Amino acid sequence: MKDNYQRFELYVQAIPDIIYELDAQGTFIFVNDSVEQLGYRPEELIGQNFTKIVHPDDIEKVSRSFVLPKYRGKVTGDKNAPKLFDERRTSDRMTKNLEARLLSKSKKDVSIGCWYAEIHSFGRWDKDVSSENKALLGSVGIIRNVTERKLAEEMLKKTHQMLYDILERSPFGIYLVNKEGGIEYVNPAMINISGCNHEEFTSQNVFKSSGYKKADLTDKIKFALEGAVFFLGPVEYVWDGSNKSIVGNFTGIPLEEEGKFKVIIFVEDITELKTTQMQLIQAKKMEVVGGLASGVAHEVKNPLSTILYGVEYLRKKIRSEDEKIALTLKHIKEAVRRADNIIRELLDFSSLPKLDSQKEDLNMVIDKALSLTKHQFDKQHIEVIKDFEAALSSVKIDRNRIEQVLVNLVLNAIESMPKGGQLRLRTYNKKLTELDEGIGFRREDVFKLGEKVVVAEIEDTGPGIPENILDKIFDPFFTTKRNIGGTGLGLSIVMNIIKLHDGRIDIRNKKEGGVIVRLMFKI
Amino acid sequence: MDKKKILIIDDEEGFTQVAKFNLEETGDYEVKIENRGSQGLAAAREFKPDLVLLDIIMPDIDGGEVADQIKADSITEDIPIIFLTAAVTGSEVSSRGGLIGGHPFIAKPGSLQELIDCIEKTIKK
Ligand SMILES: Nc1ncnc2c1ncn2[C@@H]1O[C@H](COP(=O)(O)OP(=O)(O)OP(=O)(O)O)[C@@H](O)[C@H]1O
Ligand SMILES: [Mg+2]
Repeated sequence: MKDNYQRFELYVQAIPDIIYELDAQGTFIFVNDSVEQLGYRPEELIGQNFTKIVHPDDIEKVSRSFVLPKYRGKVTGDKNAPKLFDERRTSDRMTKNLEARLLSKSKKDVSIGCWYAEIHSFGRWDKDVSSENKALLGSVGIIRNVTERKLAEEMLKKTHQMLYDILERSPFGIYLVNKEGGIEYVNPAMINISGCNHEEFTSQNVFKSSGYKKADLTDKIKFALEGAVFFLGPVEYVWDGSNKSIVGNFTGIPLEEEGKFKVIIFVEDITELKTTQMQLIQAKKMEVVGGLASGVAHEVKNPLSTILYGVEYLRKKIRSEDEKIALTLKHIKEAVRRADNIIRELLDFSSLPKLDSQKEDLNMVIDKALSLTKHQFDKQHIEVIKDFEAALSSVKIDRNRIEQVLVNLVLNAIESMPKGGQLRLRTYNKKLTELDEGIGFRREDVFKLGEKVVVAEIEDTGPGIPENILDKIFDPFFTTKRNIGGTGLGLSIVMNIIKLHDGRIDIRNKKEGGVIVRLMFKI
Repeated sequence: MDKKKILIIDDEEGFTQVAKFNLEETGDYEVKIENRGSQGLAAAREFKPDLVLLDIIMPDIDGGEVADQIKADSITEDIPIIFLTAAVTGSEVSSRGGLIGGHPFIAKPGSLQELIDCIEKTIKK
């Protein structure tokens, strides 16, 4: 018998897990040598309450006296039954896999000194648990150190969260295609780029989709599913369910998962870059044409003037009866005029719209525009309310052009209020903090988050703009005012000038009625 | 009334000749031609015109420089100058208030009447 006892004690001491026994009050009456992991000798803990080794924040989670009152009157079922360090229940209903943090002796500093434990425990009774008037002797438990696993798990969770954040916030479109051509993941940038909504994007099948403009990409994806990296671009592209065509660079990288490949595809939307490039090329062409035109103009105008003076001289000198001579001279003269006109138009057409920008106070430019339109709003009994920021930052603008913009916008507002109303003009400094169309962190965003800008707002109390024409108002020659002589060029000129300034214009209907136009300039 | 003496300095030979014919045809002017800008000043000193018609873009020296030379010479400094040029358009003329470097100018091609009006106005001043 004694032999057996010694053998058991030997076993217990050899087990790497901590084995403990508590009395009915939760005081240690036994703990094996493994408790040294926590920096205690077993004899230091004997006679101490078990809470001494539990992390203060976790005591309430594991101690019977804290936990059980919360469960009073509730039926829990085995699954949701509370788990306890000082467990009284036995057999099937004992505590299994209770997770808690323990404190080591030396390091009371919670963040370093604690480790994670998994605890199994059960009650010890003097009689069989089913018998009446039995008495609790205490609890027995076994504690396993799972710190490493726990830290690894947490690390994994953090890494996972970080990767998720990177994917979700990436300015590049990213999506994951599986072997079957299905979409397993798509990030918000990709949704944005594609012009589809999330559902439309994820329900497509890469192999079956018809909307792909270039079959190239499908082929590339097929190769990538065999393990080959690909790069494709710049190519024009339209996704299924989208009505937007983009120019993009596509990079596909195969990811191996259990012997099978998936492809992660990165999409860089360079549509605007391409458009700007085209515009630059176009501007460059015009510059060449312009240079050529002015050179040619000089060379052509000189002979034209000789012809013109020559004709005048002949007209005076030739006093012939023949009408045909006079007519011929008249035709020559007209032909010269026509040639001169063509050259002049060519010169005008090819001269680039160049800005003459200077640091200006936008408030003053607005005042000037108001003075130019004063007559109109006085006539229509429109009240003008100015709400100008006194310390408005100066902006680099071509004041004549911006004046033209403001006059156009003010006139539009006035024309929307033939029976009177209010015209409100507001200016203020602003730091961009919200994402919006054209405001972000992508290369093609004219305004970057965090940038400081000057804003001017023009509000009217007219009827607003019908939703169905909102996307047309900037088109050249679009007008609903043909009857009062509108040309429909106002807003398209406004847009051109604002673009030349690298600025931004928004025209929206206000909830309370009327239109608000918002202009934004970099400072 | 004495005929007014006009010197045309312009490298475009055909133009200078028909301009001369036209102006002389009116009976009011005596016209001399100089087709080399570099000889402009010398011609002006010798001819002592009442007015100079001066082309701006010429192969040897440009009209602006000839004007400076004429204005810097004590013999010719008081002679009024009208620029004639094919390098600007009519609309540019009006946007500059009709002056280049303080001198009136006329865009080519323009009507003969325009030229004569401009000459009369300038000489009267
Ligand atoms: N403040 C506004 N309130 C209501 N509708 C507006 C307002 N501003 C613009 N619009 C609408 O947008 C259209 C286009 O405006 P835009 O300034 O380009 O041309 P227009 O005013 O019609 O003609 P133009 O300016 O060439 O004389 C207008 O015809 C009108 O329908
Ligand atoms: Mg308008």
